[in-house]
Amino acid sequence: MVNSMSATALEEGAVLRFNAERDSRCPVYFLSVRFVYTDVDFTLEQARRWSRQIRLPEIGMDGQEKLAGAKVAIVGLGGLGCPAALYLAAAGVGTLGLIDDDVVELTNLQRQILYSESDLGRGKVQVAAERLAPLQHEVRIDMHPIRLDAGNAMEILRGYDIVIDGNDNFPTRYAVNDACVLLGIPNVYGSVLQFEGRVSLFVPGKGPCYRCLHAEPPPPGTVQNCAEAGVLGVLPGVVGSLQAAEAIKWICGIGEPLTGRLLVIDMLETSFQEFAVTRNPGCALCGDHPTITAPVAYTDTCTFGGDGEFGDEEYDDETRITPRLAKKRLDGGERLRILDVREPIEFEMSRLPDVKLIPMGQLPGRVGELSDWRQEEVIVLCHHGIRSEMVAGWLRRHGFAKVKNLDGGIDRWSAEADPTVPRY
Amino acid sequence: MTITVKLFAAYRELLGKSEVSLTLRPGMTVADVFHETVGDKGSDGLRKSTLFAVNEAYVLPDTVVKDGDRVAFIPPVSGG
Repeated sequence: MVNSMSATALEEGAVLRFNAERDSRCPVYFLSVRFVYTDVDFTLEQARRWSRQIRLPEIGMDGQEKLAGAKVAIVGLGGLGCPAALYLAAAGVGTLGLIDDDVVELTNLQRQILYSESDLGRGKVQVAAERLAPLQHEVRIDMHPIRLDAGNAMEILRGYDIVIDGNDNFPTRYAVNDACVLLGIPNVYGSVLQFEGRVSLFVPGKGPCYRCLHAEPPPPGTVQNCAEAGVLGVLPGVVGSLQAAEAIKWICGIGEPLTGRLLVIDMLETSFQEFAVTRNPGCALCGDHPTITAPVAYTDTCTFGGDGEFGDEEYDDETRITPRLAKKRLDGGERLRILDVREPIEFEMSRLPDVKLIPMGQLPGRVGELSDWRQEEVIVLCHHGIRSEMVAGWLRRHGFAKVKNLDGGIDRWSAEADPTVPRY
Repeated sequence: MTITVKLFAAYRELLGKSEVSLTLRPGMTVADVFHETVGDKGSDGLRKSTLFAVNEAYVLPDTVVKDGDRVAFIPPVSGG
């Protein structure tokens, strides 16, 4: 720690002067007693900065020193990672590893509280570091402006004491979990969707891992993400703060960790429900006979990324079509039947010409409107291609002969086929 | 016997409600309850990644339910 000196080396007079500056009614006297007789390296300024938590008997100077020596990795600097990073830096955690490859987008500002309008288009890790450094000038920040995946997770996370998992996609969640179990690092899990949040602490050897709860990622198209389903902005604030609290407790070795408990938060009801979760002896990663020896890679078709994150591959096959090829066929004069299954508010914001709009939830009741399309080639679209994938499958099961999903949805259409179509 | 089923995230979306009450014959398992409740509306893959709980504690799908049990289907969510 820079410019520090041992508290035991301080002249008692210096401590008393520090004490005398305070209101005599304020119980800082207690702090000063601990301060003088604790053999740790803190300057007066540092002791004052953290005095509100040092005076908590559970934390004290020892806890503060543990925090200063701790290395915490934060995977994902989104709605969860932002508040977690702010509270951990403010609490005096010595090293924060920031891992995210995204740039700040307008849609982030509703919940990602590290960023401002002037940051749009800038890398999140860079902006976060610039925001955290002035908050706590001694915090050491390891910048990892890359996407954590099964291939690099072990290398990135090795050496950290605890990991905050605040990322937004299943491949990264499994990569974080697998690497944490294999490296023996506690993993503070958090996730959010709409009004529902989840938090737990997975400690290798002391309870379940994420795979014990959810053995494999769900298939593409079966669950929605925040871009598809929405999220109340303050919800990741609540969940990310709980993750920071669990990390601080773990580092200081105090309280009851959230190990073996899955906390499910319903922000609409303002209810917190706890589920007892235990290690699954059959878990492929941490069970009695594990078969996973390195982080497992999964393909992500459940989440949406920013510019340039779509694959390079173009296809027009039985079940799917890429926007460029669909646009080419339309430009060539072909008449394609296009079904838009988004909500009306999305349709107002951005749309393709000559499409039929039936929101996904209304389709079962309105499928009769498509009776002429049963033998035609039909392209289904939504925002990112997740809802439309579900609808395409449903239509096939209900007698539609040729149904294709528009891969990547209207967002990929804007990015690759026609930039005049607004993105949202 | 009667049980309640609490639905989370994707299952709540799928069925349009957060809780259902079911009258069952004795001896049914959590997997049977899932079949009764969700049927073929959910995918097999989503079922495999779902966390099942009875009376707020994690169970395997072959667990037999009893009268008055509170069953929960908790699918994964990835939002961050």
